[in-house]
Amino acid sequence: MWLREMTLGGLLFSPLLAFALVGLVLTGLTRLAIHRLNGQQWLWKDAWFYVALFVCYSALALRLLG
Amino acid sequence: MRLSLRILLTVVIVIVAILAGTWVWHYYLYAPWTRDGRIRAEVITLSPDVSGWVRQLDVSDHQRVEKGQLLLTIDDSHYRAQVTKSRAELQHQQVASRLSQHQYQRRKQLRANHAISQEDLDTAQIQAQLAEANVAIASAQLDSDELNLARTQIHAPAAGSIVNLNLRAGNYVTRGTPVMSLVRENSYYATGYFEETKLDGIHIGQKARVILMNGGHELSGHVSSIGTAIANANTRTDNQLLPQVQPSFNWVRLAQRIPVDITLDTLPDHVILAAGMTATIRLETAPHDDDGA
Repeated sequence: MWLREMTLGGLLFSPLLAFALVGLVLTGLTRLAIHRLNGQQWLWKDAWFYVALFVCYSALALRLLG
Repeated sequence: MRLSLRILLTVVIVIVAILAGTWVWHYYLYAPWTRDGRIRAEVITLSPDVSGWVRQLDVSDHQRVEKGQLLLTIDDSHYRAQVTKSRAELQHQQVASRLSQHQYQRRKQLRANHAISQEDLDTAQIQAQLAEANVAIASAQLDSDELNLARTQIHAPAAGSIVNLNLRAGNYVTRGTPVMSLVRENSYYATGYFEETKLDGIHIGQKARVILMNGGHELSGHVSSIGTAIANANTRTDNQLLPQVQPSFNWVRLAQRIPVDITLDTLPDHVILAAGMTATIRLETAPHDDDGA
């Protein structure tokens, strides 16, 4: 449904940008939640985890919205 | 044990991310959709068949015209004079032909009485035939001049709308030089430039959705043709017609894009289409192909 070019102020953007933004926001929210719940102790390499989570969220957004 | 669990959690997420990333990559690589879609139309470029200055211009830019409607009139003074001249020339040749025919008939009688030689009779016969041929030439010339005269008036070859009209009454137009364009009515279609990696999932008759940047209107259509050739930017020919192949070859290259034409099934009245508009085109795939891989 969302797999279409997006217009913003006369500029045209790839829909992948929207999915990446969704992934970024969800990753940020997850990171906040983990910190609030003191769950970072369960993570081995934070950076790897969050980058991987970002990719998963972006792919999920593409799957559900695209 | 706790460290093992931490490592396991991160590794699992990384593995899932690799799988998801691979799926995204395949989806983008193979799913039959493109942002590079354009609305196109059948455009007729109108050129006068005769030269002259424009006496009267009957249309304005973007005006809708019916088939056969008068668009412009070129000054026909020269062409009318030429028709008069050709008509007189034809009359002249017809009279000359009658005279030659008369002389030939007369010489046939003379020859029967052995009053003239056979050679004189043959000459008269040939002259009569020449005169007849001259009549045909003059007649053809008259037809040609009458055609030129008729073509001082340019009519619309189809219903549609005029585009890019920069012509004004009084301008001089030259035979064969385009003076305006006509977009044929109801001839809009879409062309999607799909990466070559996606062609495997495209076939004639496949249902398509054309999403316009103009308000996000969605039109339905189907694939009517797939391009069979594009230019090769990597090779040119020199003056000996030998291929001049570019020696450089990049590590990363872009896939070629192949034009695929989409015939629009329905066109809602409230949607304004203009050739050149941008569109996103998605082709429908069978449910089992929906993952794009």
